[in-house]
Amino acid sequence: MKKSLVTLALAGLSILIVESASAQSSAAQNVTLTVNTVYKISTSGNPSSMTVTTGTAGTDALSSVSDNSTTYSITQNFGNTVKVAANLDAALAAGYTLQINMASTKGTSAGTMDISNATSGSAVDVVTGINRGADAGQMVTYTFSALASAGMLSSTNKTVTFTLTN
Amino acid sequence: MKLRLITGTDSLQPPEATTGGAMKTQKLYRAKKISKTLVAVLMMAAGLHAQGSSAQQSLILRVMELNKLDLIGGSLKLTIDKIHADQFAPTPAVNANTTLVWTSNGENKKITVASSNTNPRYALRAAPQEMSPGAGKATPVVSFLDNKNHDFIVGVNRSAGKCVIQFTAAADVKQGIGIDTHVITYTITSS
Repeated sequence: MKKSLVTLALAGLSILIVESASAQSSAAQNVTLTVNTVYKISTSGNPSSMTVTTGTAGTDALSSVSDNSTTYSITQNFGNTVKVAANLDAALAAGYTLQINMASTKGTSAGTMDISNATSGSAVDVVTGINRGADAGQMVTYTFSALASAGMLSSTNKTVTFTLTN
Repeated sequence: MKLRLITGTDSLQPPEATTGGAMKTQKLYRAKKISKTLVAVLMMAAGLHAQGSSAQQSLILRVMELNKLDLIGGSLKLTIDKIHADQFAPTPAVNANTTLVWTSNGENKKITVASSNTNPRYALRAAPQEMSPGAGKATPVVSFLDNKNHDFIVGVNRSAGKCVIQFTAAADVKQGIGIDTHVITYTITSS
């Protein structure tokens, strides 16, 4: 009986010591959080083909055609001076004009811009001053026009590149 | 009893450099620290020099062959009602109130003109005047003796142009009085 009481007392003391030791213990971890610069831009797809089919007698400028069936979306955390620039893979021949208008709620749309001669070395700013965050589903409007004096244009594929940059 | 937890933080602490082994450990620690700093700098540099992302759209552009022709001025009436005493024929009636305008992005086109009247009683002529420069070559005058097509303006290549059409109606006394009706049709076509 006495032996049992002593064992019980020692066990109780051990618990007290452990509790005391636990109360004084601490642990620390360094947690490093990094958010890299994120630039993302995407489009909803390709616009329909644009074909000039009519004009006005006596006027060299034929009736232009437009397409606003596509949108673009961006996400960026860099800053408030981000912009979207647009360029073609190759300039259009003289007498043909391709204009673009990109809507924006996070930045300032440059309005309708002529990108007929904008190539990779001379991209045109189409949206500027884009604030941090996301801007989804903004309309892209293309307008294609031609002069009668430029002649006909057989089906021509052009690639428009949008670059989101600071 | 004191419990000690070994954590990642502890491993970053520089060891005491009291023995030869500890010296090596300290060198290793410094090397690790330098490499971590280097990685951090490289990551920052990568972030600062990010050139953004890009997206592409593919466009198909096309311009069809297009030929447009229009008349400004509408219908007109030519009345021969004057004659000078010393002339055998009445004075021709002239009207130049019609303007022909056209646009073509094709090549080697011409504009023809024809009357609906197969056998007119009185003479009717049309002459293009005040042609737009470079828009084609005008035929001096076309006489409507039947309903055949006549070249009116030739050499129309990728251009927009216009000209005034001067109509002249003439009759001689022997033809008497009467009315001729013509429906004049202009057509832009390949040469």
